[in-house]
Amino acid sequence: MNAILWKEYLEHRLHFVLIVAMGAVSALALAWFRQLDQDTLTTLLFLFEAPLFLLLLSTHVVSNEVETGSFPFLIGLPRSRTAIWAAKLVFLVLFAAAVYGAYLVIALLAGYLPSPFRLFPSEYDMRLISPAFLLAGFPAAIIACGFAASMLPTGFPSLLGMAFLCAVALCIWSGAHLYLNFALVICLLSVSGLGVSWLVFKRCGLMDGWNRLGWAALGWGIALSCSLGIWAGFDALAERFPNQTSDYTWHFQTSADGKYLALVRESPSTAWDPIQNKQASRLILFDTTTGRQTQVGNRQISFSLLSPSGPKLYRETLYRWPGLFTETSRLIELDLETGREAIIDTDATPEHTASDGTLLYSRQIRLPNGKGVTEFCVRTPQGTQKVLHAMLDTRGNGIWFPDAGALMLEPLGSPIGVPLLVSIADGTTSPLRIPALERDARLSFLGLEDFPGFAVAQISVGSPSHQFTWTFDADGNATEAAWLPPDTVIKSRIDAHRALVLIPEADPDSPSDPLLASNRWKPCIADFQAATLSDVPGWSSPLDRTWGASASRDGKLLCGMVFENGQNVLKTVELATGREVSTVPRSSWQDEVHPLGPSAFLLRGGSAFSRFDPAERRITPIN
Amino acid sequence: MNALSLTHLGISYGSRRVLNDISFDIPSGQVVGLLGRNGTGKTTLLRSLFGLIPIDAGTVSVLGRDPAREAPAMRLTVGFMSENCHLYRWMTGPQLGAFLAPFYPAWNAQAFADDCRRLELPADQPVGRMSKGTQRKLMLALTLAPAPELLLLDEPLAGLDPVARDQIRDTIIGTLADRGTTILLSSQEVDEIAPICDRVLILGSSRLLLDAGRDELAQRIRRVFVTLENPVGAVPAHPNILSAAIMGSQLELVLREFSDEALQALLANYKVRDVRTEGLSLREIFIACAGRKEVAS
Repeated sequence: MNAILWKEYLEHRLHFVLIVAMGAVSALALAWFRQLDQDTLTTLLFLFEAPLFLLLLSTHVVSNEVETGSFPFLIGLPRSRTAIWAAKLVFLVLFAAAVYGAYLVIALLAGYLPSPFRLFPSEYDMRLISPAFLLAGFPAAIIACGFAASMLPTGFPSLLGMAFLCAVALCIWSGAHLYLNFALVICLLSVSGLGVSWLVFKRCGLMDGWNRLGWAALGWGIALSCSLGIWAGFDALAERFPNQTSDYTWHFQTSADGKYLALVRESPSTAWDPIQNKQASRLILFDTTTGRQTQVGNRQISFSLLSPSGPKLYRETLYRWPGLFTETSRLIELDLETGREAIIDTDATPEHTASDGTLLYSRQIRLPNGKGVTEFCVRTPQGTQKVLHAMLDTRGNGIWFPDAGALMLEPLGSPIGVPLLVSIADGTTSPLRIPALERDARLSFLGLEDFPGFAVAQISVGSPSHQFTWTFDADGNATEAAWLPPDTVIKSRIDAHRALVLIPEADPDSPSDPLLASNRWKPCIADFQAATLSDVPGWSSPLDRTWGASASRDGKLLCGMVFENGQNVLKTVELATGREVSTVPRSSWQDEVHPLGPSAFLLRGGSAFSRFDPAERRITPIN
Repeated sequence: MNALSLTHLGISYGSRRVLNDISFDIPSGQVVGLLGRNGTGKTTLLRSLFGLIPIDAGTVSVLGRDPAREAPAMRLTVGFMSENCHLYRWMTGPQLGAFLAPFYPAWNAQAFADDCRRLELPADQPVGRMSKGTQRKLMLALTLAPAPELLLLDEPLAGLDPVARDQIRDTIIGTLADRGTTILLSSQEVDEIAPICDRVLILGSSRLLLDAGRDELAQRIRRVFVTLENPVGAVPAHPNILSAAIMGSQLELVLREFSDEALQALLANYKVRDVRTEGLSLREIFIACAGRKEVAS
């Protein structure tokens, strides 16, 4: 092998000198034009020049021998074909190492500090490139595929070289769509390339016939099949053995009619997963009536939103390009009836859907100067989109008052800015006028329920914080609902001006203990029009504790988890009369209760969800 | 002991059968000429013997080894000089010697230097600047340097001037005298190789047409002039007739496996006035065998 390596060195030493000289000239040219910064230089050297030269060399390392007629002389040596093949491959690896080493020296001399760098630093695309991708994965795939191409008849190596570059682009494109596990892609591509090159080298005699094409096609077919098989195997293992103990639901939502339950579940298990190489976040859509479940999109769902007006599901899906650190996202609309998907925007997050089907979403735009802009947009069911408001250099939370025709923005930052109210009709902006809120007070939380004509927001102030309730009209005038105790939780809307709220109660045994107090809640009905708070009929003493409680969407029922007569029960009463509808014993005391459709409820105990029909006293597991 | 042994060898290129049912043995120390018209599979045969291309049927033993499975070990003792094999054009003769030496434990650097000197090879000239004859001589020197027990030479004299031919032929003969190397050489230059061959194989139509020793050839293949009493219209059909010509009552036949008894049996149905036989040169034998179809038609 040493003799062949020495021969290759003698043959290609001038190429090496030329390649290094090209790198040095590039660095000098960048310096001459005052463009010599770390990102530009490393992009040029490691992402363009080195891979290009390496591809040129690897695609000709065997084909050149065939063309010049020295191939029979080479394989006539008293060594096995595999040994000669391996010698050529080792030379390519050593040559690549020498080129990358030389380029690293040039980069270091020019001031490069080994760290991830940005691709296209002067453009909008600011994605970071990982050094492992550049210095190991990319060259490995180039060598393997270029080497396989070099086994083909004259003309094909160059053609295949270009095809390989297209394949890399395709890989990047598919990676962006599938969130591919890049390490596995590179590994399979490299092994496939080496396997094909070995097969053709071993089987094709003097490399003087067109049967090389047939063997190469056969090899790539086998490699592709095996790769897909391995891929499917890893995929099956990833699905079969997720980390169950850490798999938890961090976001869920039900459709207005109660038919669908959308869960976003996150699993930190990445051991087997061929698609993604970070925590998987799956969006699983359940049909609560049939129990049928479907995984929607890829495994990088960051947020989902069901439209209350129709069978639409909005999701934010993350993508990452192979070898890049940063990721992008797409906002996708799924029609649950037809299964059709449409990309609405990029780097966008669904925020809220109105009863008429209008979607509010925010999107992030990175400017060349490094600053960011958050835009809030609405999209009507007819497909028209409009930017409502943009906030520079910060990302804020947007809260919608769709029925009030306004958008409330809570800019984040330090110090936190004054909340804004944005008119949906004309986009005009006005700060929220909250008289009792001191200017230097820190807002840490905003929550709301929206009502026709006005909105209710809850604002946490102070440290330790306490939550106060305010109402706002469409002009941004705020009025504190002082008749509601601090830290009241608004659970769900009952009708046009009433809501079910949970009032914190002090523990009779230790009334000053805030921790105990926070565990005791009393459901009440808050009337924002009359500014009154009333008890729920039939929901009082001797009830000892209430954990989860919710009103049904039709506003007729109240269902809650209570501790009664020494046991946990799921109790449902009529809100208007207090008549008990049902009382169902439960072994678990951790159930949360949420509305599901007009008159049913969703029970959640950890990651387990069930449908509860109070009239029939039936609890049906969903997942 | 046989240096080479082939049994029912068959080789195909795709659906085209290039060699079919080839069987022969070559004892050690013998020089064998492999003749055949263009495209009859001489180069293919030599390449398969060197393990460069696979065989489809039959068995091959080269110095007791199977070239398909033991090619690396076999090549340590077998030299192959191919007409279509080119050396690295950017290397000089000494560089090529230095490149090849580590592969062969029996590499004789002194012998290589002597051969280079004897063949008048330039030491500082890259192969790309050498003439075709010089390249061929360099390749021969490189092939001989590991002192192979068996030499496979594919058209070693093709395209060379007379001086170069003599130099290469003398080298081969010198090698024979000194080392007793077994040689199988293919060539179109029938007259050139005739003096140095102990035996001749003639390939044609993917088969082995003739396998005979040099001395044996004159006895086994002879030209027969027959004078008949009456003119004849057709040549008698017989597989041993390699070529035939009719001029009235005169027949001119080239017969293989010649014997008086065979000739009498062949002419039994004719009234023969006179019969005269004579030997053929290797060139005439080659033309008679290789061009048999054309002559017969």
